[in-house]
Amino acid sequence: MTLALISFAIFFIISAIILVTAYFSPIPRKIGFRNIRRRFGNTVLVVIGSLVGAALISGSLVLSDSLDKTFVDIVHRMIGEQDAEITLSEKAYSNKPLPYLAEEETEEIKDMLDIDEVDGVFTSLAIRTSPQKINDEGEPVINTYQIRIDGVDMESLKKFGESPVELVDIKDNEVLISKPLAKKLELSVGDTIRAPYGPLSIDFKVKKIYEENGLIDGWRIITTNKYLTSQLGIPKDSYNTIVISAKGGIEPENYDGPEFEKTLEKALEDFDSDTYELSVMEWKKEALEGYGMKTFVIMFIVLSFFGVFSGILLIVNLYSMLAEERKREMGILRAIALTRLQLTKTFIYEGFLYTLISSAIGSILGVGIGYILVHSLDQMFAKMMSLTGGEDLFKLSFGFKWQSLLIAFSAGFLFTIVTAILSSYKISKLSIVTAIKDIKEKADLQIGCKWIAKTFVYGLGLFSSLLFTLSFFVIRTFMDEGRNQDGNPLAEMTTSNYNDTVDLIQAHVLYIGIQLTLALGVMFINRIAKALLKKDIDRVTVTIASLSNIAITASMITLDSFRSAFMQDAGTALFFILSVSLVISLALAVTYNLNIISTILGYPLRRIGSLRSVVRMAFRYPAENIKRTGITLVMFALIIFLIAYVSMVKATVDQETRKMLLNTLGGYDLIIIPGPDTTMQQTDQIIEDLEDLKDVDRVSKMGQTVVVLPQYKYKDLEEAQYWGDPSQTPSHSEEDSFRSYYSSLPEDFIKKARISLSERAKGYETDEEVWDKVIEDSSKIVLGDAFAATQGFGQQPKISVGDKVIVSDLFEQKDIEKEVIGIVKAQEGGSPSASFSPYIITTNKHVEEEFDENYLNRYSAKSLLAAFNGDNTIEKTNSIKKELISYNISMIMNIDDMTETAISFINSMMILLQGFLAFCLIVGTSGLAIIITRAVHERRQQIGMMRSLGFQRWMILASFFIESTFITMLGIVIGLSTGTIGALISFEVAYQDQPDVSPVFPIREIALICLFVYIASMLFAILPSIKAARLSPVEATDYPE
Amino acid sequence: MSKKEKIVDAKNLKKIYNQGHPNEVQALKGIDLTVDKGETMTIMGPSGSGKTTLLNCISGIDEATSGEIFVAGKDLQKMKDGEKTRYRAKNMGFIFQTFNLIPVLTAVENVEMPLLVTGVKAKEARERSLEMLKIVGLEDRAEHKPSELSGGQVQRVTIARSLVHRPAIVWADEPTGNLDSKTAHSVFDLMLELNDKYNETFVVVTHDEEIAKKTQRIVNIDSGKLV
Repeated sequence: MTLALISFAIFFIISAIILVTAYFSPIPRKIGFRNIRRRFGNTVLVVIGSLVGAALISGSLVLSDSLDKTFVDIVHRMIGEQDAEITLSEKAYSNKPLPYLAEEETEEIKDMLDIDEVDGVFTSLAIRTSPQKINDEGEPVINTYQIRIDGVDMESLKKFGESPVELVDIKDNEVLISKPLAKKLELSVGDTIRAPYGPLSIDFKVKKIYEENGLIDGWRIITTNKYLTSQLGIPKDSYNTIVISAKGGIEPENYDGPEFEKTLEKALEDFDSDTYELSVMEWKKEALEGYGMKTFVIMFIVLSFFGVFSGILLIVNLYSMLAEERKREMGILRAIALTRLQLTKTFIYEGFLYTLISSAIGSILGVGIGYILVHSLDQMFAKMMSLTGGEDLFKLSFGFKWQSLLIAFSAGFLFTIVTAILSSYKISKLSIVTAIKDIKEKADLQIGCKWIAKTFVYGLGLFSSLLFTLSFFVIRTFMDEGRNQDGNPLAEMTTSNYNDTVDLIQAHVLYIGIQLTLALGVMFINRIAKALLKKDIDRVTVTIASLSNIAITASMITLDSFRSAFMQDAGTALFFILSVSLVISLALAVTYNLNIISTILGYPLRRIGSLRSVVRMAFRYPAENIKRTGITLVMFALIIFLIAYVSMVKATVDQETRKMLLNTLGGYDLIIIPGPDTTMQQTDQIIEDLEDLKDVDRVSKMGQTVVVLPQYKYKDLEEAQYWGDPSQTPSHSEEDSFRSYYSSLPEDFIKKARISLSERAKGYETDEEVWDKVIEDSSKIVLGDAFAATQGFGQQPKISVGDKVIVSDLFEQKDIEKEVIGIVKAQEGGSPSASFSPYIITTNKHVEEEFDENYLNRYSAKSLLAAFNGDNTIEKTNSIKKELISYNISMIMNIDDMTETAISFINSMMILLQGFLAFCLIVGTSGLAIIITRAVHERRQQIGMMRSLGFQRWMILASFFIESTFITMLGIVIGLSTGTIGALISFEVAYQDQPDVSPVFPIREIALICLFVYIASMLFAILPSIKAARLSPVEATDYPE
Repeated sequence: MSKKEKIVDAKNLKKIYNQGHPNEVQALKGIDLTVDKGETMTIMGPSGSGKTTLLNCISGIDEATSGEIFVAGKDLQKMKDGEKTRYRAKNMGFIFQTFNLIPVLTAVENVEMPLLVTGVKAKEARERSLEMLKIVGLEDRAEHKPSELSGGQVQRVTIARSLVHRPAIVWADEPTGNLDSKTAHSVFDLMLELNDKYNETFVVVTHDEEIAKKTQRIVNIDSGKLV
């Protein structure tokens, strides 16, 4: 809101100043306003160009607003008043199948939560299950996975939060469900749902179906605590979950998430239980981040930067052209005694009306384009998400705020008017003769006081930028000092946050410093060289500086601070600076060498006699108008940069994800994860059932068994630098031995999965040798990638290959010595993989030999792997799902589905990006068309003269066509090459621990997009070219100036 | 005395602007005009008399409403645009008052243009253009852009360009209109010198009586009629 007000206030003040001065400056006002009417075609072009720029700004903001609206909708639908949740974790593993608080403990907690910051608490006994719809014969017909049943205290639920959800009373086995769940299970009021849970099966009757209302969503069933406890055989009023509402209604911005979590933790610090620890989690904001919205927002911000930057370049180009065109008459006006200020005013008054119209229409048009884009993206998401079962979550909602419209309007206005002011000021400073005769401005070559003063300022700038760059080396020392001072904000940070911050600052200082030094260095050297040598050496210095900048950018990835900064969310600004810098550098190098490039490219065309003169004209104009060509190239290349970047990222991530997932299931087609509390007997029963199916070739178990490593105590471990959720680490106290898991895998899985190792013990030449040894010898283990992860996975002891590790059961009654002979290679970004082998890896056979059945039954979670006879098909998967419907299965996933799900998520991200790129493309192509149309206007007399000299119509057309092709192609080449460099830099950073990753350059896809871009540009460019060709010689030469 | 060869033969030439509209203007009212090969002729008349329109029509860069125009024996009125353009490229040279040169090309590149348009090889075009610039006394300005030349130099380059391909006729519309008197005479003298040297035909539109007197024939036009 503040930004909107400030920008609108600036608009208002500038407008007021312009209008007041216009009132008191009749001559500039008359000239300025009459120029608008004088050439209506020109006016329309300038307005359209600025309008596209403003539309892009408002469109970007509207897309951002829509994401905000999507957040709010999700919050209202799925979270409502629920802001935090308290769950239980056992201090020690007990024999209770389901941990819960006794009634008095719950009451004690509720009393502790009676604080100002909290305005609602409800208690629940929550269990997870895969419910089934039961038909009249009592048979399950449809099921779904991972639903939470909340056995609640209805009285506290009805009073929950500021705006409690109105609920009907339920009794006995009645449940309340949401429409999405009813749709999934084809349920109506009165139908029966069965929830398998461990050895139990609990039946419910649907009492009422609600729209999702922030309490009952697609993943939750509400029943009474009385009924659920009675079915589970535990005392009435037992709870394991306490849901809390923070004061301030539903909107997430009404409370500070981390602060609220701290408040709750403090309120509960006196809770003392021998059995349980309370785990407090601020839920709303965490959940929103979990939905991946943060990534979306960051993507949009980066894309908006690119889009807005392209829009600004278009506006700058148009006004520079307009000012150039007016140069001659501005010279005449100066000659007849108009002051420089009056001259600038004429242009500002003219520009004021253009920008007022274009910003108003453009910002409204942007809202319309934003609406179409959000609508199309929503449909694409719906399709994509229906594959993954998340269709209810990803509903993109269109939304826009008046503030955004104000910002877009004011920003469009300000950028345009500032460009108009700067362009006219520059021309008003030209000498009258230079302006009238349209002579190029001569460089300041005379060494005198003015020259020395100016050169000194340049030198000072260069020196300062050098100092700024070199400060890179001392930043850490300064910041370390600050960190040692009590009360300094740096001292409050965790080590990892502090290191990230230092890296971020270092990377920005170094990179921006280098850019500044190069730019100022070129200006300084040029100035001195021109004065001493009396020669223009711009081409040489700019080319050397530009190419050096590209080389420096590419080599920045060898710096640790740069890599670290690049991986952080805040590093997206660095990505933007880097991308723009790469594009501008190459565009500068190309623009300053256009004569050489055009000589080489034009060679084959010049062999054709009649094309010689055409080619000369086509290449000479862009080569002579360096500034205009440069800006057009940058504008165009930025969009192609993004296209190349996005396409490469998409193709490479696609390839790597497929590769990773193919390894994940080691030749099996399905993974079946039984629900929590599934007994060993039930698991064996599932295996038996599966093996009876004709489609199934083999079934294996994959286990995760709790073990401890007595050599390592938690208190001795270093500060954890969590990569993920600390709750992944089994609950423990500081005195406990380090707890981990045995990941026990089937032997054939190990052989086929070919999990890559980052380290091998001495004597093992290949990864295969290591895995063969693990299968053969129970005393050899491989540590999973949780141990190899660069940033840790909870607290991890430092264990190296060759170390002897004692593995024991939870009660430390066994001491089995193992030798670590390998460590699994970490996945993308150095984080532990989502694969099934993150802990201590051995075989099922060895684990079954070492631990008794009771231990495994209680402390081991099992997943099942199944391989089909023949091809992997959706039909076979569905038949297995149907066969296992009566079991409490958490998830059945097919490797193909998993791959498609993972890829579809990436694809949906890419669709979002591509949708935005399409929007940017409008700017690029229409910008080119507008620039060509302006060029036709500008060269009208020259076209007439060329026609008199014997240029045929087709030659004029061909000349413009070759010129547009030349610019478009150069833009495409610059964009493609810098986009590829940008993508390679990203891969180098993102996959730094995976040298096997081979970047993919999807030639076909990129070629098709470039062809489309080229055709679109030509379609836009052809109309003005035809118009130029149609001019008769006399019509063109008679054109009034 | 042998009969001179006619290079231009225009009969009953009429040009009407905005025909059928209330603001209809009869710019040429049935003009008959002939120009002999090697002749230097001036068309004179007050502003708005139709002299530039006459030049534009007989040179083929504008369409006459009716009448016949033969240039070097070819009927321009019957030619299609492409044919007329080709004919112009080969047989005519033009000098205008302003906007004569392409600003992004150097002097020599501007002079080369008519040769390149007609498919002359680059090397030959460059040699002939430099030669022509030498003739007009600007060989040392060959690599200069138009903005780096004086008004007189620009017109000299234009003359070089109009003659480089040895056209049958050169049309000049106020070629000295933008120049001071001394430069104007020097430029015009150069044109006459080249007429003498190469037997080129020059048809010139001018206001300047002093200049006009230097040509072999003066034709006066007023209100669209020869007087």
